[in-house]
Amino acid sequence: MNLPRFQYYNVGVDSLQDSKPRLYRFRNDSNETYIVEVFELEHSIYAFKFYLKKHKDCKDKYSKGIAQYSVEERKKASKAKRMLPSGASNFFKVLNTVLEIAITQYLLTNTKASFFFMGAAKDSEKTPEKTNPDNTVENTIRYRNYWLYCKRHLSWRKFEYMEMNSSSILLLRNNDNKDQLSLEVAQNYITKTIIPALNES
Amino acid sequence: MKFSKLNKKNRTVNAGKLKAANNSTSFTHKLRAVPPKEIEENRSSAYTYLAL
Repeated sequence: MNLPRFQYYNVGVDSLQDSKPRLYRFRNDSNETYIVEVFELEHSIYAFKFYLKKHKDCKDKYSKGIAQYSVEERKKASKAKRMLPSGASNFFKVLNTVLEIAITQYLLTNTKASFFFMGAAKDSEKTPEKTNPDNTVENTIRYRNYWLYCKRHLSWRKFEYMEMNSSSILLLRNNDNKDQLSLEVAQNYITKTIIPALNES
Repeated sequence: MKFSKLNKKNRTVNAGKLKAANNSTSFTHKLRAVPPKEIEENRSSAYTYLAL
């Protein structure tokens, strides 16, 4: 994979969470640390979540963007004549790094690996019109961006794109696993297991 | 009260409540397999797929 990316490290398993996700970390150009959590689900599905380490104790750590700076942070950077990284400067390299982890750590070891993500809603998107009774948010900006990113790099010959706009979920079903993970199986698994689990966590 | 008399904020809240009420009984998410043609149609030709 020749895409520009950050150097990442495997830092073991998060034993504090019941689902015991595997953890990776990397630093972006501004020396901020990212944590990537990888959850191994049934049917060889791997779910990826990532956030900035400085937000790890926030309840909505997945919703926080890298370009969300407080007034104090902006003033401090301005005084020091330091540029704050915009979302654009790091966005692709962050996604490239997560994709690199997905491919080298999971797809190369499990040829049936499928990938799953949900685009977390920004605060401005959590409106009553867009929020569903199960607390999922439809068609979020992150979902649409991740969708476009996947479409750019991952072929439909290898992965079937299964989208759930109403909850901002995209499942990249590995075509080598289509016998085990059909559309119906995936639909049931997402609605009956994954979405209820999201509400509990 | 007539709907037209409600201010914009109330309209937003009511629309949300209406959606939640409508959805609470019959709300289901639908997973859709996206046809390859649809993916290719809106895809930039500047990028090549990764060799996996």
